[in-house]
Amino acid sequence: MDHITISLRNLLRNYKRTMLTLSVLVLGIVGMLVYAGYIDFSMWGYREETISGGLGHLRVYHSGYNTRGGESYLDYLMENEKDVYRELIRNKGIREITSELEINGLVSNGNTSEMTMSRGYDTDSVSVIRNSFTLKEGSFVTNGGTYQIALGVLLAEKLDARVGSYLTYMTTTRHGALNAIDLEVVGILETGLKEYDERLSVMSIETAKLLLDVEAADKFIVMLENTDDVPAIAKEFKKKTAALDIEVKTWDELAQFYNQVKAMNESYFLITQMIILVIVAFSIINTMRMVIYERMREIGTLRAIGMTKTGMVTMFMTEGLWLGIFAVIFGIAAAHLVAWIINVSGGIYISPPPGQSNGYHAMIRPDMIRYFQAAAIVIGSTIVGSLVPAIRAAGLKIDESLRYI
Amino acid sequence: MKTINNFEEAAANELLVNENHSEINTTDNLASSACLIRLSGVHKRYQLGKTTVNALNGVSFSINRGEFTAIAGPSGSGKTTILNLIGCIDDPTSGTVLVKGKNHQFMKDREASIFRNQTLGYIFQNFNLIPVLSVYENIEYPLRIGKIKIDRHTKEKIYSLIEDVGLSSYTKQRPDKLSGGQRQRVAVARALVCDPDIVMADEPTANLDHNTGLEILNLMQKLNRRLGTTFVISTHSEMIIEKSRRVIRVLDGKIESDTGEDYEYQNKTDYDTVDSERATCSA
Ligand SMILES: Nc1ncnc2c1ncn2[C@@H]1O[C@H](COP(=O)(O)OP(=O)(O)OP(=O)(O)O)[C@@H](O)[C@H]1O
Ligand SMILES: [Mg+2]
Repeated sequence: MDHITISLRNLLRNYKRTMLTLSVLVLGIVGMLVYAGYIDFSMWGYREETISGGLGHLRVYHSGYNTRGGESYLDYLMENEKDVYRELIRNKGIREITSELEINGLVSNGNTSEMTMSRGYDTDSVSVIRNSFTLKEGSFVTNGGTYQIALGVLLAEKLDARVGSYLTYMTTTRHGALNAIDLEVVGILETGLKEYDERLSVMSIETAKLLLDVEAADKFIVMLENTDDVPAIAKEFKKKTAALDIEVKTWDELAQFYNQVKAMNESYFLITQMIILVIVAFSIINTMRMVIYERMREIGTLRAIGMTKTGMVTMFMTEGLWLGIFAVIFGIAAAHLVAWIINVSGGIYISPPPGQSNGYHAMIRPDMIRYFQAAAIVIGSTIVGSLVPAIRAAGLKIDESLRYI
Repeated sequence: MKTINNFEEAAANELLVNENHSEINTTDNLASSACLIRLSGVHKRYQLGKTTVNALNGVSFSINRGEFTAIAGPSGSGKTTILNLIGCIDDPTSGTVLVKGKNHQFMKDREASIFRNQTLGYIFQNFNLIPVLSVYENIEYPLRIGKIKIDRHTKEKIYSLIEDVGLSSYTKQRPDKLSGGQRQRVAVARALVCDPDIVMADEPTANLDHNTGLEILNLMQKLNRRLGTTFVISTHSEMIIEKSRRVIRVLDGKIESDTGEDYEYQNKTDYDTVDSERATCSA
């Protein structure tokens, strides 16, 4: 008759209360895990959106572009872009590689001029770029479409431009000379963000090179088949291109906003975890306190027949621990089931977030690490929660607990 | 020179005693003598809020190995208090209680627990069996607590104890399926399983009818005679008082009368390993 069997039997002895306590713990775990699964789903969705919405999985620059580039980024263009491309394309798991050249300038309709931040991209492989906007009118800049431009919707409004209009694009070349080209408006774009829609325009990389009087792109945007491959491919690629004087950034190094949102969500989740931890600890404390009052004379008897204080603490701790273990088993199973039901039934409808017009169906994304976390938290708090009453039970005066009626 | 040596020796002895308070080796060498229990000038006060209850007011007596002693007295007279002191589950406010030469007051929890486990057995008015354990498990449990290996030999011993108390066909039963008398039999077996020197029984028959009480009493007396275990029983029951060889009557925390130590019985037994000139408590 060791502590393990005795404590199990003791739990069964008052199985109604055990069930009640367990259901509190199980509810806590389910709440925690379903919430985590929802956060993980939205973060996962947001991650994929961020990546496919223009950021890409990897970005490759001439070294120094990110640290020293800034205003003079044109001094850090990828002069050896053909060699880099050749190395890049050799890797497995790559879906698409796009080159891009950023350019800032003024667009004018003759009467008004507006500042614009433009992206010149490789019109042959553009899915990454195309996903960053929705096309409101017209078309994207086409292959070989030199002298074409697509404008952000608010920028187009300010310039009173529509598909078919001509605008003059003015900028300074790499060497400081003024340059201007007339471009045909082929499309109107929308990003959903006012700041972008007011400033953004896109053109082919050829046009951008022409305007800036340069021969190279400033970056490659690499899309992979699978986001989880990023660390491995990035590492491999860094190794292979060590001689090429380039720098490789992964999406998560660049997605500042994503990281902020993620950090914020994690802190919310931490708060829920804390709350659940406290609930678990208190319900265990409460249960164990009741148990101790109920078994007062039993405690006295056990101490009288020779159980040490340590033995007493171990006995009650084992009982609390069992509660924790069962709660974890049932809790994780229940959470998994709830997640499955939610997912199978098509998710929970979430109304549109501010600034966006479409709601979406949230799914629950189960994650092993979260399960382990939940298990650790619950077991940890049952240990803490049963320690307090266990020490109290061990400290009871034997004669008094024997007299207790 | 010699006196200095003696002095040093005495000082060394004192140090020894100080180091190991629980083992008080007095000149009459209690630990190895037939005198098992000695209370001297024991007072016990309980604080109930602002009022002080004087449960024991200067109690002194000794019990020898092998005695069967009833502690009798009206309710509230201090019987349970005396038993608790002998049973090393409570300490006197003043005075000393020595059990097998040891003073519980100076023991650490671990030592006291082991001492209780190995030296003392307890029988309670309410049986106090562990409800989640079967008859066999209840009896075995003190051995487990005492970390004694349960082998074939110990198992045989447990079964023979179960037979002694007449519960052979109930070994797998949980206590709630047993009658009061049967429960108390389990308690008797449990109290004896670790071969204690002393078994304390606090009103062991109070919750039983007359005949069942008598059975339990006979059982205890049989085991006392056969195993030589010392029994100290607190009771209201005239039946127990009549049948006990020694009766200590308490009233208001004082000894009212004591039929005296039971030397005669000791000399008749063959269990006691102490020599014929053994020191009894009053020697
Ligand atoms: N823990 C305690 N706190 C306060 N008073 C106590 C405590 N334990 C015992 N007493 C008091 O000490 C006195 C002696 O109590 P004790 O239990 O030893 O009597 P008893 O002879 O065993 O009585 P009974 O026959 O009713 O069991 C009583 O007045 C009792 O109220
Ligand atoms: Mg009493």
